[in-house]
Amino acid sequence: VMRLTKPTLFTNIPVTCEERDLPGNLFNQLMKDDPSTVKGAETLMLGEMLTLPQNFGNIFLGETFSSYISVHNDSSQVVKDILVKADLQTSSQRLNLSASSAAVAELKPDCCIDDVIHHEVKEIGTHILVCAVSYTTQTGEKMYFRKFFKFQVLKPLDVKTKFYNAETDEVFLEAQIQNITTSPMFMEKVSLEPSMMYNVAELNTAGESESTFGSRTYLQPMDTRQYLYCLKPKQEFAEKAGVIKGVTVIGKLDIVWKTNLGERGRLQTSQLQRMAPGYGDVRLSLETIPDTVNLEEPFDITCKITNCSERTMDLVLEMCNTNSIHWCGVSGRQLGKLHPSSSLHLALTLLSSVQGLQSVSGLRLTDTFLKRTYEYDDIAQVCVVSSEVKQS
Amino acid sequence: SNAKDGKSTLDEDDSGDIVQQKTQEETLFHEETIDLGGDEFESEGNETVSEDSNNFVDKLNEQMMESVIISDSPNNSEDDTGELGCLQEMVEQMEAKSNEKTQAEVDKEEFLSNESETEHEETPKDVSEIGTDDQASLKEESIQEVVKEEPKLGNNVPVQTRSNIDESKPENQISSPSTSKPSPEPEPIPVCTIFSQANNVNTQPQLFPPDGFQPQMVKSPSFSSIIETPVKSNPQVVQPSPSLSKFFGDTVSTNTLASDFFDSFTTSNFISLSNPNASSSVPEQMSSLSNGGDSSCASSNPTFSVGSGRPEAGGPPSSPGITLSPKPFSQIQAVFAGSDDPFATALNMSELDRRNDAWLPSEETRNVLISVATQQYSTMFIDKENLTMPGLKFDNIQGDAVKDLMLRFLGEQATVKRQVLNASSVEQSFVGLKQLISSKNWRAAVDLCGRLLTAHGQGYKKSGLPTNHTTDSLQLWFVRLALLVKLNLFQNAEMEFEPFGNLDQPDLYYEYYPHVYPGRKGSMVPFSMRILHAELPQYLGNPQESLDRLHSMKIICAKVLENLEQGLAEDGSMTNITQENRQASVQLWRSRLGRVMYSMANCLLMMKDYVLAVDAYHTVIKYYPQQEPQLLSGIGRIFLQIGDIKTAEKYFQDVEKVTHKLDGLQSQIMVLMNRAFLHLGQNNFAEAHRFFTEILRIDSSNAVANNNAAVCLLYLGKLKDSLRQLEGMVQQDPKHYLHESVLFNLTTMYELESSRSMQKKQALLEAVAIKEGDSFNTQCLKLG
Repeated sequence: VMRLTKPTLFTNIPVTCEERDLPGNLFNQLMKDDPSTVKGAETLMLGEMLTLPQNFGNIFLGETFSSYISVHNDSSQVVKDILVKADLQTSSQRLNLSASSAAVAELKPDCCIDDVIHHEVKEIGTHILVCAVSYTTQTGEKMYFRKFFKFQVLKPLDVKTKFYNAETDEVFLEAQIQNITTSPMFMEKVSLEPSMMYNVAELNTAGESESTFGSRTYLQPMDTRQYLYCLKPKQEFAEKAGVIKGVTVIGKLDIVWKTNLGERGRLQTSQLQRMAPGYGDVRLSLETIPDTVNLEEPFDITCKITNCSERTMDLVLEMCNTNSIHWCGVSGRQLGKLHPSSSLHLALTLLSSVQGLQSVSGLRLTDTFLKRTYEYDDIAQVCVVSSEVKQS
Repeated sequence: SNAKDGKSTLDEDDSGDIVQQKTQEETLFHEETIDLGGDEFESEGNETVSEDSNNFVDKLNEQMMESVIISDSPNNSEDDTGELGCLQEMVEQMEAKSNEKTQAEVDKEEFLSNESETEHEETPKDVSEIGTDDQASLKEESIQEVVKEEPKLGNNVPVQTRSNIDESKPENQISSPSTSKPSPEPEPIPVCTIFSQANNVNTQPQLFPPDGFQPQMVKSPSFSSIIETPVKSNPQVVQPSPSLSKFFGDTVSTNTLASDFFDSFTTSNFISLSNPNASSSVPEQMSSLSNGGDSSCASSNPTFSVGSGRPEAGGPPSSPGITLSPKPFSQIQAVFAGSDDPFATALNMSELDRRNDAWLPSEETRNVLISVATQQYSTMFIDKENLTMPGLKFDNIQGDAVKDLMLRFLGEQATVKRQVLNASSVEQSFVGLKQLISSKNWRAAVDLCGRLLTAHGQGYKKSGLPTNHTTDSLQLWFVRLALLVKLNLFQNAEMEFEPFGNLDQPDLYYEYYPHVYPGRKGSMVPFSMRILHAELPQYLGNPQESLDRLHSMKIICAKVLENLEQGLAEDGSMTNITQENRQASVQLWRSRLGRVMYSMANCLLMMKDYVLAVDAYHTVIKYYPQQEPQLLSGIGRIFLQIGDIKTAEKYFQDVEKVTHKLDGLQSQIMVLMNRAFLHLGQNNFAEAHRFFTEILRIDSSNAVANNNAAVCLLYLGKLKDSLRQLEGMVQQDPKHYLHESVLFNLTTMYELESSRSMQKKQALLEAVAIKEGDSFNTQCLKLG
């Protein structure tokens, strides 16, 4: 049995000399005669000669385990009814990998039965390849032997994620993917498969199609790459956005990579889940707000108030002035009844008495049914400039 | 196989704990999933490492980052069928093994009887061992068990199906009851355990293959008597002391002896003994190495060869910290007719010499050289640190690994047939040296270089002693060091390179010896030796140093080219150079610059900095446009290696646009070869094989295609066909195809084919013995 990892290219050590040196063109001639060098460019280290894998190497989750199984008759007798069975025992299951389960009628001396098995490894940890051979000798004796080959499947990638919730119900996903193998890894595909509630936009290209990772298409060992995705709730779910509560399933990352000579690996993360921001019973979000306003001049904002609770509310709006923010209008006005999952829009006017970046704060909603007050501070920021500056 | 034994013992120990735990549970729950033991720790360990290596900022971020469990199949079925029987068996057997010495006989019996209850169709006679070393090749971990399916008592006879039964470990044959009824008297069971040869493939290039060559400082017996005296009387030879003159006296005798020896072989008809002064009028001849003009200069004039060592020449006793300058040369100056004449001097300096030897010394070195030039007749003192004092660091590395292996495996009778040249069997001259090199007896050639250098006074233990350099001595050093590198003896090469420093000491320039090389300028160090020197650290795990050295070489090459373009001589002096010669010089230096870039690219490739390596290879194309197709293909293969198949394909397409630079056949082969590689990258071995075979149709002797086609066959499950192809290739033209890589593939397949691979490997050894020299890398035969 031999594991068939991809072959490697032979590298040679170029030693050259010049015409006038003592060996003359001897060294160069030796390199020309060496079959492993590239003819016409002998100094090129990377040759074209394929060499078979020299050791078992590492195998990583998501890669395909290929192995050559050869049963060779070393004896001088013909044996009959040979049955070769290859099983892979993992910590949780046992898989049969043999291509055929039919017995071979006979095997002459110095002949062999060959089989190449492939299996995509789906578990981390110890795997044992169990090869069992049974046969009948000439004298009719039934013989049986087994061989065990143990190997470890390691984790190739480290994936970390981070969510950002935007005011607009969009969710940004930042995913760090680290190569924790010992060889460079070409990332063929890293995509986010969104759950049914979301549409996804990849934010990993700059301009037309240029990757944000530049010409470096691969990850060196221990290197990390950061991918960014923007998820928008689909229209039908966006309506009920206020209702999306607690843990939501965002989707999963699908990663395809390649290593030496196109050895392929593929992994998916488990469903990524995010904790939807808790909006409490009543959510107040801003629909419109100017970014820059004049000092001591009133400006308008539009708020959206959504009832996220299961009950109907009767709301009263209070506006409390802060050091800089002064609300215009009557405080304590009735907003009326608000049913669950419904929302209302509210136009408000306010002015700032202080220059600079100011925080809009001081809104209070009181549910008269339960006598519960919800406070909304730091809803948004506006930049306040003196009117002369803005005009000029 | 001792190593193997040791390893398996370890394995047993390793699993011991688990086994013990498990066996207790086992007896209770037979169907339980066996936890394969502490292996998860490995992956977790990985995780820890990765986190540790993150810097602090990352750590901060990490608090917010969420670790995600990767799993391809999130819901792994836990439905475990009774299939685990096998594992239980194995565990039990391990248990059985650890109890080998029958201390826990009772336990075992209990155990085995349990076993036979669960396993109905098989008698519990399997003995197995699981190799745990996942680094080693699978096939080496196999322990084979042959079990007879005959549960009848007394009918059990040990079965021997393998010829190498002698390798089996008798103590592994456990006695156990062969029926479910525990019998007080265990029957011998029909088990034979066969260990395949422990053949731990060493992935790291072994610097000193286990062929008996140890880089020990072995002193040549023939030379020891000469050195002993000075060493004894003066342990720190370079420490100036009142006895310095005595020391120098000793050196004189040494050098005299050495030069006698030197004479004895330089008088061969090949090396002309003509007076260098006579030949100096024909500068071309003097500079030409093959006629040994320069060495004859040394040998014909004994005064010169002992020059620096002559006490009377030094005049006053030397003061501490300094050594003598080549002042004594002034004494031979008289014989140089016309060396006072500036015109004659100018004539002496041939066009070729100037072009090839040009080098730009560092500021410091330049100053020393200027002062040598200006103070020709006064005694000069130069700091010892500024002198190059090389010497052999080891002696007699000669040996023949092939022969050693033959002795071991084929017996003395067969070994007699092995006839290779050694350092003594050839002419003790450059001719002999070349003969050894071209017959691939590089070890012998290294020795011969050593002998020649010894004759030059730079032999074993001469490092750190003042000496003179000639064109030839440096060429000899170059050849010796280059061969050491070719033999993968990098550490040895580094040790011997060490006294040369950065190859910029004043005594390595011709200007330092104005009387030996009147009018000649530039460095004695061959350009190729600089390349070798720069490349060496990368083979010793210090590629950064290689890059630094290559970079400073690149600067000098570029500066030389700049000088030439500005109408100056290579070294920046105002010398008239004809247009033709200037052109030739520009060509030479461009190709040298290209060679430096080549080394840089190779070094970057070794560092796995593929992006920079690819850039560097693109630069090389500018200097060697005729190699564009090969280089573009090479870049394509780099991308293939990374796994970036698309980019590789793009490069291979580019190659097809420039193949007109090659002749028809060659370009055809290249295109086919690249296509084959592309298919390899796409996991399509059948197509790849088709293309490799296609190449063989137009060029049946193409070794690469032959070998690669055979490799493809193996991946297609055709071991026998693959073997036939490789064997056919080796038999057809052993001179060319007994190559390391081919033999490595062949032996690997032999090992896969049969446990009798030893015989076939030995047959290969015999073939090697006939064709190959002592430089053959025997590791690829995997006979060890």
